Amino acid sequence: MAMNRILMRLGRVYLGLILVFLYVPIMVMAAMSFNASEFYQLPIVFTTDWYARLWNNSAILDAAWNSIWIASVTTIIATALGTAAAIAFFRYDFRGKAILQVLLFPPIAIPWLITGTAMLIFFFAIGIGRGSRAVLLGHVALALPYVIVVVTARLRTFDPQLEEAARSLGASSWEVTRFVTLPWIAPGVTAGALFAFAVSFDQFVVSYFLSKPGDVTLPVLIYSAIRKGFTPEINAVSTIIIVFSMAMMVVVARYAKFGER
Amino acid sequence: MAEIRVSHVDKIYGATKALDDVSIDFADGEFYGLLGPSGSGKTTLLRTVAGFISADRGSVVIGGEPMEQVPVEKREIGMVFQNYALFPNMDVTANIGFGLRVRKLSGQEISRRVADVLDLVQLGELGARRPHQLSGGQRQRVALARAIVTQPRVLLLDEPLGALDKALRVEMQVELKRIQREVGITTIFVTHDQEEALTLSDHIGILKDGRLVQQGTPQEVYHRPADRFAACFLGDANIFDGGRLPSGEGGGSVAVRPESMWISMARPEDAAVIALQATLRQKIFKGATVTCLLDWHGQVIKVLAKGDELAGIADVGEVWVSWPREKSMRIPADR
Repeated sequence: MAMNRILMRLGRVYLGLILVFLYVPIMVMAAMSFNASEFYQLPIVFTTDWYARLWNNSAILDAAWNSIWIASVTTIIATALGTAAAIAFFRYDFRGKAILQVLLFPPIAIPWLITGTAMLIFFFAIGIGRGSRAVLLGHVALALPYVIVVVTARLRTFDPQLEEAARSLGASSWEVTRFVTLPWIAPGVTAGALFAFAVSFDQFVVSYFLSKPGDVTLPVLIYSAIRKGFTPEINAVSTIIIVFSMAMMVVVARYAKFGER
Repeated sequence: MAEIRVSHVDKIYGATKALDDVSIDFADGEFYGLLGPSGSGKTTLLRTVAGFISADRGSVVIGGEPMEQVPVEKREIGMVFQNYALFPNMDVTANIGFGLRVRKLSGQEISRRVADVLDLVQLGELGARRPHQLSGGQRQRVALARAIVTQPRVLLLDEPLGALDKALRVEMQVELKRIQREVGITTIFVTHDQEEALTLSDHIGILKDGRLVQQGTPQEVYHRPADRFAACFLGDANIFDGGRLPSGEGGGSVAVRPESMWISMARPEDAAVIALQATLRQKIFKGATVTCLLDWHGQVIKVLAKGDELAGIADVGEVWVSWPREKSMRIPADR
């Protein structure tokens, strides 16, 4: 009994430590983004100056805009292709299906550093080179497996007989998809889309390799900026990203839960 | 509405023949029961008619039109699935109206026909419910309504009553028959329940290992089984292997239904009756009837008697079991 209680207490301490290590750095950064002192002096003197300054920093705004549109386009393309692929895997049996499905996982496991290098070499070899197009292609390639995996998971709960029933009632293959399959997997598609957006928006390594100097995404810009030294502006933009990402995770979690129903 | 002609259909999965040279003519407007144990190919045959499976050999012709090149969605069929396969994201009205919607009918026409068919299946009030808010019997009616509202040429039922409990099943059998008569669609019905097949069908086909063992009206199939399998699968039967009976009828075996037999203490004095002396081992009381198990030279004989027929018969002991000669059903000896 006493042993048990000690173990439980230890467990709680452990959990507490995890939360501390996870969140204290983030909270310090967020706090400093509201601190008037550029040199992290305490006590904190509250200001929203750094946020205001963001609006006048065209480099940060350009990078943010870059990140947002690349993530948005990546999301649209990866979600459409990934959902179509997941439905095809679900519906049809064809030669090489098993191999194709296995090949989906390594891109998730292979270090981005290596994927990025490979892409850079490849894009130069075929003449695309660096730039937004290359970043976009790279991001779609990275996000696609996530969408397929998430949508496929949702499709596991889908009764294939519903598609047969719809066909027996005269529905074309598009009508079956539109009226029967998609409504059921919608939560999975939404979760997949949010994943795709997150993969693209948070992507540093591949973006860093593939973007042209001067035309970068937000994570790449932040990296370049902190190499020159921390500024509270970076704290401010990072805080915005964190709030944004966490809000998105909450949405994903809600949809994931909805998916279990 | 149309007649369906299935000719010499083969379907092979790996090493097993799911369908082996099956030919059946389904007459216009009839209710045809496909009966067989699981793995006999009955569902494969149904799905071949529906178009979900393409035959390796042979043809399916609906209303004079060969179906080889016609996909499921163009075959004008209605199908009821074992688990009903109602669309969970649509209410009852939308489920039933689905086939009309994809046929691009006007909203007014759709509402009118859905309302009509809801009346036909007696679900008038439930149009706004979702499938998960319905009982098993109600789901079954919705699935049936959805399948017939498009006025298909063929109605295909894949064990539609399998998921219902016994009492509801009997009720739905009556309903199903009534609705099928009313709309007059050629109906193919798959079941492994022999009683259900006998109750509902105009014609029955018995399948075993992908082969059509026998077909005919329920009476024909019940009273003149083609072989030992048909005799035992459709109802109970006592099988006497060739030459074992004293009547000396040569060749073939003989099958006798338990309800054709009776038990007596004395040997019946009637030349038109076959009588065997056997040992009564057990009486099993089943309410209206009593099942008696007898031993005859090591073979178990099952006799179905009404309770009052057994007056004066001891629970165990030597008795005579007899049946009219014409109740002997001749079947080929097993190879």
